[in-house]
Amino acid sequence: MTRKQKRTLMLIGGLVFLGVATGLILYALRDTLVFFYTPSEMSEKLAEHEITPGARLRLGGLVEKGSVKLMDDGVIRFTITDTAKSVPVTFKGILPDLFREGQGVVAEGRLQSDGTFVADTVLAKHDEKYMPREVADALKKRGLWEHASKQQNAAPTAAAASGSY
Amino acid sequence: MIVELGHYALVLALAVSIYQTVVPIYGAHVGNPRLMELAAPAAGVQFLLISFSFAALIHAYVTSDFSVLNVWQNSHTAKPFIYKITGTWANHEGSMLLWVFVLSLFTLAVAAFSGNLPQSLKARVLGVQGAIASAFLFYIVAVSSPFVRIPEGRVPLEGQGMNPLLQDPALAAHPPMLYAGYVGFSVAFAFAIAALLEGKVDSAWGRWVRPWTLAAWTFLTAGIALGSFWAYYELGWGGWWFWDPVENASFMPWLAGTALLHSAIVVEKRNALKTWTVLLALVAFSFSLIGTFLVRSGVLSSVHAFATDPERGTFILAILALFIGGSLFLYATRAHVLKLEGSFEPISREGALVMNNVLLSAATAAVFIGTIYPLVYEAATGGGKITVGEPYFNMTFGALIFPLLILLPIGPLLAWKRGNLRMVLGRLKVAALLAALVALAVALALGAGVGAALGIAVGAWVFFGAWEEWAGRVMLFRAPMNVVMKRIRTMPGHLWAMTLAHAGVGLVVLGAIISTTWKGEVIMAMQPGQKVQIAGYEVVYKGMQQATGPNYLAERGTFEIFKDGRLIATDFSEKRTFLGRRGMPTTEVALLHRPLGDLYIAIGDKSPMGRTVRIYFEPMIYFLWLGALMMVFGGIIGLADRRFRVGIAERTESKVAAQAAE
Amino acid sequence: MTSGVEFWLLAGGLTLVVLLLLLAPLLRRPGKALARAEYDLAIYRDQMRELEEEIAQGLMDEEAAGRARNEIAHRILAADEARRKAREQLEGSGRGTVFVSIVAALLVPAVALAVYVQKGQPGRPDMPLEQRLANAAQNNDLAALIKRAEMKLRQKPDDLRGWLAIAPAYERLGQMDKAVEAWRRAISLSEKPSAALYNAYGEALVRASGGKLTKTAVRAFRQAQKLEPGDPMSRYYLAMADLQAGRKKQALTALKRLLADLPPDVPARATIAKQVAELSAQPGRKAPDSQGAVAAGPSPEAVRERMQAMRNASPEDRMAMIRNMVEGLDARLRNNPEDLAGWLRLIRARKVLGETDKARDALTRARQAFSGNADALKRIDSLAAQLGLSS
Repeated sequence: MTRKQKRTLMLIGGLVFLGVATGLILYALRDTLVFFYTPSEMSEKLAEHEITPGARLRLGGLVEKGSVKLMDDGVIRFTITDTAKSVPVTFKGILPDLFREGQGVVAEGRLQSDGTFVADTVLAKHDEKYMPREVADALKKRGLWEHASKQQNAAPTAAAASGSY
Repeated sequence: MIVELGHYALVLALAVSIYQTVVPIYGAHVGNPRLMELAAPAAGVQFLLISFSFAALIHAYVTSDFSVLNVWQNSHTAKPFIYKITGTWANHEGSMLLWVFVLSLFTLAVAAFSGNLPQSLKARVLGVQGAIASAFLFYIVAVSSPFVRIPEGRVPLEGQGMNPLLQDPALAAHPPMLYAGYVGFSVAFAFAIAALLEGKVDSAWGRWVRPWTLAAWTFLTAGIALGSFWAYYELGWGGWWFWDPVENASFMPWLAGTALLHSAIVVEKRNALKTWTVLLALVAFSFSLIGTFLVRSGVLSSVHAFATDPERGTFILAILALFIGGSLFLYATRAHVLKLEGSFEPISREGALVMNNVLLSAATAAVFIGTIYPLVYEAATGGGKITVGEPYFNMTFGALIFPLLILLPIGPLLAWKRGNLRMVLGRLKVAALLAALVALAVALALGAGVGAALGIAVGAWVFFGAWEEWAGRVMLFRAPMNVVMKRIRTMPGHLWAMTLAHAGVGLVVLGAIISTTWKGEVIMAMQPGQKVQIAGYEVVYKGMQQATGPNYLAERGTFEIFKDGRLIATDFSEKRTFLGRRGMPTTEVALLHRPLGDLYIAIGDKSPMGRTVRIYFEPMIYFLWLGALMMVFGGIIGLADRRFRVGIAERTESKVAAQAAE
Repeated sequence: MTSGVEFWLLAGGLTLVVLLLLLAPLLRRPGKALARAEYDLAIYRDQMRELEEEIAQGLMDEEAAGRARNEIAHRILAADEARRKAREQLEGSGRGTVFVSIVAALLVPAVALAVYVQKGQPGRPDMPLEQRLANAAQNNDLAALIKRAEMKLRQKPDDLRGWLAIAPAYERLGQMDKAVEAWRRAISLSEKPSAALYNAYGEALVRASGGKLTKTAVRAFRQAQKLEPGDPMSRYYLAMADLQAGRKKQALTALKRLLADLPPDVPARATIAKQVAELSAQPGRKAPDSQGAVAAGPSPEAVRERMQAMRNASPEDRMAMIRNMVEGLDARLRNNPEDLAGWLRLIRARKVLGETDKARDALTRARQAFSGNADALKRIDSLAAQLGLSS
């Protein structure tokens, strides 16, 4: 093999590897992506036929007050709401510690054709301000979650900001 | 007045950092040695000023000076002394100050250990370091100052307290380590920029860059391991790696830095791969910047973080654009100046190192795409949210790292320039055999699937391969014992570093595969007195009590652990509610270390059926920490290797001495 | 302001030192600059030496060793060549002027000053919490005083005296929940809690619940009755509880009896008498049905009002009044020290007001007054022990 041939071969090898790696990443992305919706967004997407029942997705919102019920067979039923729309959720398992009525939650699972959402994972993983970020963002858009963050940095922040003489 | 003097010192440091940028780089440009000489003292002054400023902030924390807004927001009088100190950097503003403090420390180190550096290179490196410092100091002083005061007369008597999750020894040490890693790559970055300005990269350059890269890599390894260890025992979920954006942000510079560590060897030994290495140095530090900023500002999880704090967001974008964009632009326009030299065979040490770089870069890219994709999607669709979860990362990262692990023991045995693959494989017979045996034994005894067995085989292959290479080097079993001992004693540090780090990687792989494959998990609601079986242990829940700590109240669950009917331990898991910060309690897990793994018990909430208890058996999970420790230890030994430190001064002196002796 | 002057002196000194350090190298004679190639050469020689070591250790075969040697030798030759060329060039170097560095250095204080006066508060003193707490008494800063007591109690949560001192202070600041908690802790810590202590606890509970006599409060007043049968304070509140529960007749009887038992010089008499009169004036009037049980008795607001009246309006005034009374008692006992009950009341009052030193003083004086009376001394000592004043 001449030097030039060798170089060409290495170049081809490199390009093949690049192609394989890109293909792998694209394939993995398509296959493992999970979309996050609020109840309102979900019903929109359903209406537009962008998603169909059975699709795997994440549903985020607030746990509706008074909606949590423990069934005899250990299944837990509750409702996730963004105040405009609500979705009934069933889940079998142990709820996370931070799961509370009226608090933010993210459920991952599949939407059934009867409109209920069967979750296999319920997340209440919170940031410093104790609200799942996706949920906080979604609620902020609706202007529902201002007071909580305001409570956090009460008077002295504002005071300091206005008077740093 | 210490607070205000600290604030003034910080502002003064900003002014000095501008001086440190302008004067040496101008001096190097015009070739004036007197101007270039001014770089080192500026670095010293810079360090003193920032140290003083940082100490002033720590002092404010320790004395609970709530007239400082930052102290009020993040401290509490009831906090134990140690967390008053660490609270200083457990928030955005303070952590940025820590960042520049570590930067000034590294700059000082470069100035101090640069006896073997040509003056113009030294001046340019220190100048670039000064530029990085100016950008950060400007950011801190302008929009992220920890020295903002609360107006007199409105100063509260109690602080809001520190995030309880962060009140932990591992997490107290985590940020300084991580930052030392991030900031350490700034030195390699500065060397790369200096080389681009100078238009010269050669074998000597490779040698100068290597110890700094190794130092950064060692700190970053330690930082990531501490963070992972903390997540393991503090979050109460039993996992140690979640492919969370925050974790990825520190993992990407690590991957790029690991690639840089290896490509710099090729530069030194073969004077090749030069433009690529310069690019890697730029990329490693760029990822460090992204890691620093985007984690703290929360941008990685949502574009909205920019909207909540537009001032900071714009600033951060500007700094990222300046350093990442600017350095890549410089690279694009100047890289051709670097002389290309040498071609090489694919089957050779350098060929193996190139493969290492190709695979590590692809893995970095895969992690980067997975981390950034949700952000891009959100920006592109106007708020759409998606999750790229563990399956993506396991699939792509796993597939890309697998061939690298196969190659790992082979590379160090290949000769430079022209290697003999058959001979090398012959020298790894024992490792191959052991790997196969271990995988087979585990698969037969515990019933592993093909994937797990393969993973274990690869981990064992890496681990034993590293040691077989070492055994060959010291002529174990091939030479008399005293010869072997002498060889072990005289083996240079950088070779020890390689063996330990590579064996450490093997252990980490083994720990990761075993602990995820055979993890035992019981999550259930328990009544006092109730028993549960897990991995051959019997855990009895005894009930809850109240307990008090220095700054928290706790509910404490007591557990008795039996093995073969014999009580082997009584352990506690707590839910702590901290004073000051209302909010979620933290979990303190009961951890029982056994030879085969950890028994991990975390109490949860009350439920109608009793107390939620999560019990995990984490087999061989300590392999992870042990492996990380070996990697860090290897890094430290490598840094101690004297060949990195022999300076020109020492050389000329010894030359003079030699001449005198003649 | 002196602290401002001091600050600028220190900041100025710091700036001056910084400038000196920055420019110090200009005062020295410049060291001899070496060409880049000299450094390269040093590195390559090191590499060669290491290579020889490795070869000597037998870590390389002959062929690889030869190749590596060749390569390094090649580098050394090239660097040597470069060095020779550089020597000639180096002579002509040193363009640009040192003036640049002096201008840049002088810009340092200018930039620092311009930015700092914008961002900082020159000379503003630190406010470490400890110092603020230490100065609290001087500055009459009640919040800081309480904070100090709280911090002490956090370290020593079983300090009875501490709780007794902090409870009335909370009441003064209107932090009734904390006051309730403090009284509760004090009760649970005393070996033999007194009726007065239960009364204080009960009152705090009533105030905390906005005048409503909760079950817990009633229990506290009952306990006070049990400890000191006939104690007027708890009797009054228990009557109020009856009233709130709609047992008007019982309440009226209790109040009348209380009025009969009270000595004529008690200021609260007037209030109670007025209340009795009000209640007796409307015996036949039917309570409006719609109001139900609550209407049968005084509303919590009414109780609170009356309490307020008994307290003479604001808590501050009440505190002042109590202090006046206590000072009066103290003065009276100085002239007329044979009143054992008076002494006991004084010691307790001093203690409850948090004036521990004065309580001790009263204790000493009481012991002196009854130095011959073993019985009296015993009672004094037991009170002292109960209040945690002994030795």
